[in-house]
Amino acid sequence: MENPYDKVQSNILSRIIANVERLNQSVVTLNQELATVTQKNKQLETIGTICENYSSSMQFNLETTGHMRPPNGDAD
Amino acid sequence: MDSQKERQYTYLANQLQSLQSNLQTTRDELEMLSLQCDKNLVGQLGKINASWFLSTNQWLGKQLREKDLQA
Repeated sequence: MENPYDKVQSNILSRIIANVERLNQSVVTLNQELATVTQKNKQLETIGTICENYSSSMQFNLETTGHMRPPNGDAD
Repeated sequence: MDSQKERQYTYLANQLQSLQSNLQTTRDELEMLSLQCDKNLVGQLGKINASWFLSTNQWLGKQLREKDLQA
């Protein structure tokens, strides 16, 4: 005797498989986008390093020439 | 019917396995992204530019006040 739920189960399984396939494709796309973002962030990393270097060299310059002011410039 | 089901389950298992590996990749990417944001965006660009902006704003305000007093 044939199982009456067999067809229902098969349909559900097909839907599950289709959904997992779609989810997989979405995750692959997400991974690609994340890789792109990481790649772009490398350029920001360079800018950040440049800013940091400029800031520290400027600080050193101000300290050596004696032009460094205290944080509250209105007080003096 | 049985062979079809077996095929479906095998396919599903394969898909789940690749999903697992894809999610692992996503996890690694997000970890990398979080590190980059913390170190470069907030630590370098954010803090330094904010302090530059604040100090420049203060200096310009002071210059304008002095100019107003002279006028």
